[in-house]
Amino acid sequence: MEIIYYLIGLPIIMGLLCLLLSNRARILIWGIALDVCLIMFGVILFLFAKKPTIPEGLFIWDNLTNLTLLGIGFFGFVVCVYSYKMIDECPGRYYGYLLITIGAAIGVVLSNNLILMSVYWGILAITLYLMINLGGPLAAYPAKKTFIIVGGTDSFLILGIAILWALTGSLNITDIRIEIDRWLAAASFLCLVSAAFAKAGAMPFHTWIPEISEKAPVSVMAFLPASLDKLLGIYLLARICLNLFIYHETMWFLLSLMGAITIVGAVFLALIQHNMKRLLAYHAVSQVGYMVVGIASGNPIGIAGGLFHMLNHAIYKCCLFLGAGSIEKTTGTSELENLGGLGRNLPLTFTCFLFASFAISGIPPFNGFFSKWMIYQGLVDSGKTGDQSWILWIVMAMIGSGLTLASFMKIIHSTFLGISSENLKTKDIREVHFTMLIPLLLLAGLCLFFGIFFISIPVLKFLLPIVPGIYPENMFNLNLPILLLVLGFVLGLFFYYTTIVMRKKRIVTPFIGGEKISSEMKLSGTGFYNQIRNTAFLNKMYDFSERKFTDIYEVLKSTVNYFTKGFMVAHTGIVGTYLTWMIFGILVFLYIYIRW
Amino acid sequence: MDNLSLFISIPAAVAFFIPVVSRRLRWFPDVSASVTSFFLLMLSLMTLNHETVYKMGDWPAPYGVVFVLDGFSCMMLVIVNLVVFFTAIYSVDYIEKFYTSKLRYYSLLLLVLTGVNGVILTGDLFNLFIFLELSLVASFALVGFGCSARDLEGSFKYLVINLLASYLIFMGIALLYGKFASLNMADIARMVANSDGMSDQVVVFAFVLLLVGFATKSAIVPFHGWVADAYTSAPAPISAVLTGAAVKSLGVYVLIRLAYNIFGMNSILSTIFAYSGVASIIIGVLMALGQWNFKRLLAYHSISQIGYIILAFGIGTPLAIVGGIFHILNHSLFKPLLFLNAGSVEYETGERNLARLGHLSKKMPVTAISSLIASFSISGIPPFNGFWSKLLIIVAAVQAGRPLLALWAVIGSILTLASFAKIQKYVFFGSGERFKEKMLSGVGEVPFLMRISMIVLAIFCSLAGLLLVGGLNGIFGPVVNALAGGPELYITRIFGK
Repeated sequence: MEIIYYLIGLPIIMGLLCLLLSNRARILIWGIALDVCLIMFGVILFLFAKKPTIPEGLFIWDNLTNLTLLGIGFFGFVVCVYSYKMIDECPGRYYGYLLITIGAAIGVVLSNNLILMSVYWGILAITLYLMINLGGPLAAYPAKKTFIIVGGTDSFLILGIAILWALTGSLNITDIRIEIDRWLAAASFLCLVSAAFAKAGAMPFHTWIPEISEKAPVSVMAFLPASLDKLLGIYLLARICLNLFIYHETMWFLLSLMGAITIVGAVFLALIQHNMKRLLAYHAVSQVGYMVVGIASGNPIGIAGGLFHMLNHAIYKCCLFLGAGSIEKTTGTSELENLGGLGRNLPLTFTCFLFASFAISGIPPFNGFFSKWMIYQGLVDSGKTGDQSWILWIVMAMIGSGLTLASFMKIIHSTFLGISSENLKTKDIREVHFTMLIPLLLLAGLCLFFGIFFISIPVLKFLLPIVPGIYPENMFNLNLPILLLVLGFVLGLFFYYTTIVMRKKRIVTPFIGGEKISSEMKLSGTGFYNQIRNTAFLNKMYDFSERKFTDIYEVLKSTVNYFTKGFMVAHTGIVGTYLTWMIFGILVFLYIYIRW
Repeated sequence: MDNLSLFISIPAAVAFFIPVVSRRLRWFPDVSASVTSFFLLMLSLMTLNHETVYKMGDWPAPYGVVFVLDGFSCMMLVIVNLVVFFTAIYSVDYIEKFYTSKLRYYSLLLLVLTGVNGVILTGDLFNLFIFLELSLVASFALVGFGCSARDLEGSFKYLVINLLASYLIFMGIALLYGKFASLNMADIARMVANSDGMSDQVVVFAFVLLLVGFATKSAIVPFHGWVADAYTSAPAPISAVLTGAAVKSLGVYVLIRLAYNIFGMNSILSTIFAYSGVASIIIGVLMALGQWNFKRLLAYHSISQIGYIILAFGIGTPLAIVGGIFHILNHSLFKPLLFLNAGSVEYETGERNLARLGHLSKKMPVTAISSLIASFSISGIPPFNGFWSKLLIIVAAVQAGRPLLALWAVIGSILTLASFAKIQKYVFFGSGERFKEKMLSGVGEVPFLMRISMIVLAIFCSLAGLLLVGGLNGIFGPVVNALAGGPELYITRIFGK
């Protein structure tokens, strides 16, 4: 039992300590943060193997907790290592918020009491807001927007919890399991789901992620929206769908619909982006859709796939954002037009980025492929009950997957391949500091590792305990395909070396009618995608979303402004008006009393 | 501590002493107000959980004036004196910079405190009216303390609307006196209960007049016209006193005392409270969203937060009462703090317009952090205090079978968050459209005493949630008992069995 207090308390207290330390003690602060993260990760890893039994009550420690905790510990550690060279200004605040975030996130997943959970949930909103604000004055607007979306849905979370309490008389996750049979229960379900969606960034609460992507420090992006917030949002969604509420057709259909729309809508927006971080942010939105669809499929394999995708997404998206951070650090830009040819200068970053891109696009043998596969299989299985909506979901998910690949080809090409652009030629670009490389290598390695040892590690160790219904032997036998894949890869490498690398050869620049290749002739690859922007039907959709009609924040803001304007006109500032209202008030009160 | 008249006589005496003494002793006004309010704060803390009835001149109840101390008035005394203490400390440097006559300022401030304490303690309707007027006249002078045209305009509106409300109250009291031939509140309560009074037209009319009068004092929609101008033109610490102490005790406290302990709650009153609470929450916050003046924005939020309190008392279950009283306490912590923040920003930059401010988080760290904490509190972000009271109110609304009221409370909370995110963006983290770099030259942190009162209030905001640790019946138990007991308990407290 005490271990829980240490797990939550240690990072929060050390975080508060970091906030108090002088910014000049940068190394000291980093040291403290790294030590705490390392200790947390170590302890969590130890406890993962040897699950502690804790008394019923305020806290809970089941297999879902176990998995999410592992993710929190791991990503906290990775980002902390990476931040050493990345964060120069305000280290005290940065690492302080980082540690508090870790502590609060652990609190969220360990809480059995819903009120306690919502408290930690709220602390996370605060640290998210403050961490975005570390990006400087330009980050102030996106931070505000994020805070309103995330904090606003927190209020709905409270309302949902209050309704649950009124319906069941209990606040403990372990005690609540209700049927959605009346509108109050449905309202509670939607309130809770809105909080999970906002945190994870699913539509319609997604707009804060692209908004902050360019302004917030990139390690914050990698830590919060890309990994931790996904883990927590999907954790809450899983709790809602697996623990708190019993399967209800309409509600689950609604979830799947939102998930599918998220996948396709966000990926289309991602395609036309010109900034690497913004593009990645849209993918961070799009991928949530898969998790939502997986969990909403309502059958074990789909749920397991959704959870697995949550973990995978955190791994590769963290890797991608950190890679983008390294590129920005070395080149000073993240605009795709201004990059190019970095593959030669940054071979390791390139490899990691490539691995992660393959993973997110769902190419075997990387982890993303397997989780998507499980989600698809889950969808197909859900069709066995007679409900045919799965066909739509699976088609949308596959379209999303294809377009993901397309947009990552855009990044890979315009960043690492081709020739470098004018402004990069003068710069001396070399690999980043090793503290920034190690996290990348670790994450990229994990993408491959979780793919190849798909059955033996993730499924057996992580997912089977959470969703007992999945039987690896029923799913599909992967040993042979993987063996063949590895064999093919080895063979390919062999031929590559014998025929290309080992042979004597002469390297010449391409001959283009005697012209020298100059930077003006560079094709960044972003131009190809302009076609999509101009396609007949899609351009209407893009125009629609550029006018912010799909942004729930902007829509509500203009609605509220409309009412505000009305009331502002009514408040004339003239005493006579106010006195008239008073008389009116007296009359109304008298009327009420006389009538009743 | 049985001599309750000390709460009234001490500040009154010091208030009259200040002009006499301070011709010689220049330091006296500064020290006197702080020391007096600190002493009263300690005194009120000593009286916590201490219920007593003090008879003036030992005259028994219906004939003499009684001072009643029960759970509710205890809590209110602590809140009011706390607010006045911190604003008194804050005023030392603030008034020095912007205004001239310190001795008048402090003497008026203590008169406000006298009136407020009197209203909270007294058990006699006419006495209550006297203290109310004392407080009103003093605060009227304080609101217009700067004597510029705008200050006087705010002060004028404050005076006219509140005087009208006072007349209504006076008329209500006169009608009740005519009907029952008594001014003692417990006596009236007894007669109302015995004679089935709420079906009597005269009593109902008198009650409605009182209701409207005190609703105006507590700035509930649609009686809120005076708030924005008065709070904006008053010196920042006075806005803090008005919102933290005056409105709470002159308006909300009396309203709740009348409703719960004198006339008794019923379903009509509960409905009126709940819906006017919701109207205040929504209209207040919507108006706040459109403001660009820092203090005006806070003023409209004051309406909105009072709405939460009234809503809670409209729901009326014990849980809601705890939520309501806790929200009174919390609002008296974070809203004065926010006004003090606004005052500090004005102290350093001379600017109240959000569009012209910016980038102050580095220049004024204490102000920035304390206002951040206050903003989190008022927006109901855990673990700060506002979260807990709003949580209780929302839960109570749902539990009482009125989820729609809870929904409105939640919407109000989100809009509150939006407008405070706006303040943080324009003043501290980012900047407004008309921000100019030269505004920042020479801007630093405010003097020590101003900092201290902001820091301590911010710490209270962060930790006040711990008051719930002892369970709902811990600190707030006596308050709930006093209110939920209804008129019977109040009558027994004063007349015995």
